[in-house]
Amino acid sequence: MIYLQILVNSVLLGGMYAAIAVGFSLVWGVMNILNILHGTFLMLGGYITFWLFHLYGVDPFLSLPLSAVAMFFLGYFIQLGIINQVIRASFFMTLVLTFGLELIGVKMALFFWTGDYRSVQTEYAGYSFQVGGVVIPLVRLALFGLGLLLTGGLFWFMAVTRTGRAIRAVRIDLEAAQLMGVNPAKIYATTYGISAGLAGAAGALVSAGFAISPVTDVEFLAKSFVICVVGGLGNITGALAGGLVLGLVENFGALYFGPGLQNALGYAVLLLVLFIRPSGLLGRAGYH
Amino acid sequence: MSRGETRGGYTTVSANDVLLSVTGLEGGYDQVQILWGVDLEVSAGEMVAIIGSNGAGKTTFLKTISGVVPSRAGTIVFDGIALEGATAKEIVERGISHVPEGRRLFGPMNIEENLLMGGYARGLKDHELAADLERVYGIFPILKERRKQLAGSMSGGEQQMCAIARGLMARPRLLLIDELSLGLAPRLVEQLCANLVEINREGVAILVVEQDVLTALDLAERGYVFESGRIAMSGTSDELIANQEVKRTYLGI
Ligand SMILES: Nc1ncnc2c1ncn2[C@@H]1O[C@H](COP(=O)(O)OP(=O)(O)OP(=O)(O)O)[C@@H](O)[C@H]1O
Ligand SMILES: [Mg+2]
Repeated sequence: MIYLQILVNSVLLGGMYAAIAVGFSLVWGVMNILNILHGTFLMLGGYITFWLFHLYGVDPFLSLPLSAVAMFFLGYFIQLGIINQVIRASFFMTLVLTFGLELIGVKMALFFWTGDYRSVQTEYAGYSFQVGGVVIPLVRLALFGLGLLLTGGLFWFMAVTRTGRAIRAVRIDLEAAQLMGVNPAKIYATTYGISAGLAGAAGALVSAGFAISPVTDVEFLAKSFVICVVGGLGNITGALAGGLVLGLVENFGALYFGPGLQNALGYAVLLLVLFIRPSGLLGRAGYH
Repeated sequence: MSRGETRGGYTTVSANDVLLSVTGLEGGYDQVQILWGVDLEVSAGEMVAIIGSNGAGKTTFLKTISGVVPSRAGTIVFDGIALEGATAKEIVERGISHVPEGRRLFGPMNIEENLLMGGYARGLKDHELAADLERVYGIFPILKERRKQLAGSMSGGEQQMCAIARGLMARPRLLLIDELSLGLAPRLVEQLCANLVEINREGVAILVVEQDVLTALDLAERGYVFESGRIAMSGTSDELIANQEVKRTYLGI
């Protein structure tokens, strides 16, 4: 029974993890940027949700779209105004740049909001129901469902919409896309904005179920990295697969090795996958 | 430049109305200058060929017109408006569509997605582009049959059709085509030439770069010969075919 319970917990967590990582994967796959700022957008999304709840009593699930939109615009303009200046620069250059911006973000968060852990205590936080002896906490189920919705939404967007197609076109052949009238600077800013918006939404999810602090930033950046590499960089289903694997590893790892080793186990799986199957579980498709 | 008279809601253009006028064009890549003062003209509804040996700068010239390679000097006037400083996006919007060398289809996308990308500059929704899709499918029926097939998995001839169709989706008034026949069987080239004649009859001017001189001059009314980034010769197709220099260099006679 305990195994079934942990399995369910893992899957529920995995759905949220997919949403956490999918934007990171998008920017990496389309723009070849290892976006260190990803965790910062996530943390900021979480804080927006926390403060709206704490100060005005806004339900975290209601403030999710707001976090998403706010982070979309923040991301859009950071890309257009700052990162775009070095878009032709090396992978390492953009990494250093986003790392610098991340430091600024975290320091400011520490300064204004301190390092305290904050959590959103809704009145339904403790609700749960049982299915055949397995306990399903309501909030966790909602995080799972919304996580899948966000991930699926991005999948739909990339596959069907005009802008999604233009993003793929730029990724496949930049010059040919330009000949079609695509403005690459705008597409890159939009892609980055979407990624940040997804991170903002995922941050709202995180804060609805877990305590957050400025260090949440690095923690979720690391998780995103593990998920993307394990699942296979550059495809949305890879983020889903990686999210589920990480959920399983963390939960079963906690059962066998105690809760302190969660993150270390994530990295162990990362190394294992890199060793056995360097292209990730689902391969490296690259947002075509 | 004189505009044509308006008849029954359609603007008709007289045959020698200049559509594209290039003068003294210079350009190239970061350190290297490739084009050294190119003068060239295409009239509305005309079909013009560019020939020239490898590395003469034909591709660079087309890319400079469509704005993906910057020009350094000279002017490009399209439909009476100077394209100076215009972005690639603005140039497609004004009616110049470029079918690039090597087709450059979006291989992992299907044919229909490629065609929809061709209509991207027009800013329309997919369902609004449906009529244009039908129009290009009318010219290339095979593309309609294969519309869900990945572009990268098609034969060279089908890819070239798809590339031209994608170019047409922008509703150009001038179609630039780089290397029409390269790597294609003669029967396919004939088919493509027939397609171009049909497209041209509907009023689209075509500037085609073609390494096979006989195909080029058979197709076009006039031609330009590129050599080391300059125009070495120009004239009607008949004049060029009769020219000793052209015979010796490009036809090996
Ligand atoms: N991206 C580039 N950077 C630098 N030089 C380039 C670049 N592309 C082409 N060149 C050079 O520019 C010159 C002209 O090339 P271009 O492709 O325009 O010639 P072409 O007439 O189209 O030749 P071909 O018949 O082989 O297609 C060549 O010497 C080529 O090496
Ligand atoms: Mg060429």
